[in-house]
Amino acid sequence: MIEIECNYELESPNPYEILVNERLVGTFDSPNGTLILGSLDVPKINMIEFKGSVKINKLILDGIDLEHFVFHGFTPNKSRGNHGESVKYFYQLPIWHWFLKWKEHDNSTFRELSKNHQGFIPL
Amino acid sequence: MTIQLSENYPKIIRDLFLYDRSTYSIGSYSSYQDLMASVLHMPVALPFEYDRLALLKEALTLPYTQKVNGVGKCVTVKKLDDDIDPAQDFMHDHDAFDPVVKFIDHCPHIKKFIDDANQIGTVTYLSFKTLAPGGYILPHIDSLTSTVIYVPLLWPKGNYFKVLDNGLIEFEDHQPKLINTHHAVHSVVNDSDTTRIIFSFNIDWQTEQAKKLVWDSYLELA
Repeated sequence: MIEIECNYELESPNPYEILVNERLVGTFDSPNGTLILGSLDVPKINMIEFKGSVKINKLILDGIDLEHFVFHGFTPNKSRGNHGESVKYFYQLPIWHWFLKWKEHDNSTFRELSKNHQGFIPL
Repeated sequence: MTIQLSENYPKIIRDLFLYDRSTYSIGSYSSYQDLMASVLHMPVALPFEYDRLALLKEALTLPYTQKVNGVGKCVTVKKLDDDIDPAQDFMHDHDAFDPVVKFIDHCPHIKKFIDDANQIGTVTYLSFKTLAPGGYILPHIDSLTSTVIYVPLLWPKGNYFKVLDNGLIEFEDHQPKLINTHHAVHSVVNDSDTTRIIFSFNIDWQTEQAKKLVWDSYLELA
């Protein structure tokens, strides 16, 4: 188990829960926070979940701002987004390498073509 | 090679430069198409001569648009005169190329370079880029651009061009490099006390001359 810092900013009218790898970290009501997450080392995939009526605006893992990845959370309606009754994010360690690889794939030519509706290329 | 950068740079850059100890070796290719589809970067031997210091002197007189994090940019050749910093299209209809050339009326060496490069294939994009001391470009991938050639004009020690999982691109020799910037995430820092100046250009890669330039340069590496 490796510990990394997590900073976040969110909107929530009610208290919300944070779970890491399905274990409850705590219940919070602040629009931002800093946590130390116990995360599984490579090659395991980790999950951080925000439960409540939440809208996640910023997510910083291990000091690295995940930028627009914040909009790629898994929500209960089977789509991606940053708000809902539950928003789950999956990540791997080390954060810098996982995030840059994610960025590489998210910006690949295939992905860009699909994003721009200029071709039907399965993701 | 691992590089320890100061806290002045974002952590994503510091981690990339510190922990990514990868190197890059050019592969073995059987054809031009094979090479262009896979190669990340390689030196190219341009079939004409140019005076680097004269180009540098002229480059210093260009009107740069200052962007974030110490980056300056001046686009002198572009497809359409509709934007200061145009995005490049997915597809290039190379028969219709009639690029717009700007800002270089007073720059005979730059004009000559473009004329010479046009003999290889129509230059569709050319921009000069400065990076101030302490400046950086966050890791990114140029997914919508095609292969480009970078020509360093002033690359002080302490400047790095890092490619994720593929090592560093050597520019201290001030030699041109072909880079497929849409194949991998890359990041640039200027950890020196002098501004770095480089230009990059894009040509019609479908001409026989362009194919010869790339293939001959590849064979020279063997």
